[in-house]
Amino acid sequence: MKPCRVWLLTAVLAPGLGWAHAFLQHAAPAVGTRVSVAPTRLRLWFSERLEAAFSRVEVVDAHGRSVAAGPLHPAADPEELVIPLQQLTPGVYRVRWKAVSVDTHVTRGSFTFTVDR
Amino acid sequence: MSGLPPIWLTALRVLTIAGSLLPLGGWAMWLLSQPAVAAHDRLWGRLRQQTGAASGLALVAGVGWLAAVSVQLAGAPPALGTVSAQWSAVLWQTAFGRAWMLRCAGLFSLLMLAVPRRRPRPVLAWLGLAAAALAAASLSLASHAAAASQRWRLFADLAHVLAAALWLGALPLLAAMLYGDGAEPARAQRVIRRFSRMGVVCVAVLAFSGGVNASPLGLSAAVWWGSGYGRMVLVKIALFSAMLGLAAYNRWRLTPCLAGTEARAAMQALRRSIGAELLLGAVILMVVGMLGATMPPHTAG
Repeated sequence: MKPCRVWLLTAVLAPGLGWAHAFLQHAAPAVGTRVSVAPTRLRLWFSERLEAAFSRVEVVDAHGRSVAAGPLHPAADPEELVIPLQQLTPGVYRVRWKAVSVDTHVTRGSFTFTVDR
Repeated sequence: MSGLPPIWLTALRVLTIAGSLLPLGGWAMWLLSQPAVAAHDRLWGRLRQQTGAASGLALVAGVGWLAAVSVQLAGAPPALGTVSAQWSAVLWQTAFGRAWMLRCAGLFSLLMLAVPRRRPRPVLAWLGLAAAALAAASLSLASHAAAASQRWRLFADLAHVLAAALWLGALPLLAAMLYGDGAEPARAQRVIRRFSRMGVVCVAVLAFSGGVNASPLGLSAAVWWGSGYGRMVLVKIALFSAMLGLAAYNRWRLTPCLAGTEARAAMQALRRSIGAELLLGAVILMVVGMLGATMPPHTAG
């Protein structure tokens, strides 16, 4: 048996080779919603367990100015990211997130929410 | 969403996985074969080669994998002088890093155990088995199953990894008994029968845990036939089934002949059959390579 064939066979049957990704499941404030009271923190829940040390969340206002960015607050739920927010003034805010799942795959996304007057 | 994984990252990952899986079955096979082939020093030489090559490859590829993952997580290559800080953060603050260190501990232990030319005492052989199990199991700790919400998927993946490692890693030693001038049919038959008992358990565990791992795909025909990922999994299952068919042929048709008058012919047939299994395995590798770059349909939304 040639050694290279053994390597091939070994790699073939290695489980867990499928690359999957952490997707945003829901958020608070929720995606695309309007809130009457400015939130004091932003919470994001994903479809997989995350590496908080390498995940990032940034919130920018309508002018593109960053109003909140990491470090992330530790969350009891390994699938959740939490970031504190300063007192937000009324307006539209965009959330940009980068999630690193435990299998080291990186996903990115963004959404908006609005703080009403 | 990130793009497809770069081919070189996939290659490093596959090499690390292959090198980490292979020793376990080798050491298990060594322990299984002991009473039957106590005088078969060539087998220990083969296990030393297998352990050294596999562990060395996994360690070297693993360093490359760590470097690649560090860059991937940080989003950019580290500036000069910050490599150690970046690697340290990955090693201590991620499941991947902790699994990487466990794997290195197992692989280094295996390298040390494979240094002596004399056959190991039983306690050292069991230690080798434990170190190999550690190296293999570490693969699950930062796998997709480890990232899943349901913890039972991690345990299913661990079982899958260990069963695959036991089965596949045993093949080279099994082959060593069928090749070369020292190949002895009756001796090979005794060991193959022991291997078969382990193999039956491994196949059962592989089938069950494989089903568990695939369970997120559900039973919808649209998912299996309507997505590239599902079709590739079906192809992989078909190829794997063919390999199992060959293994069954080896076990129930050819192995009994090793004790008869056609023992030499049976050994030749076994060699061909193993070659065919390996060819199927190579095709499966290509399928797995494509699977690795394809989004599972259940998360495509």
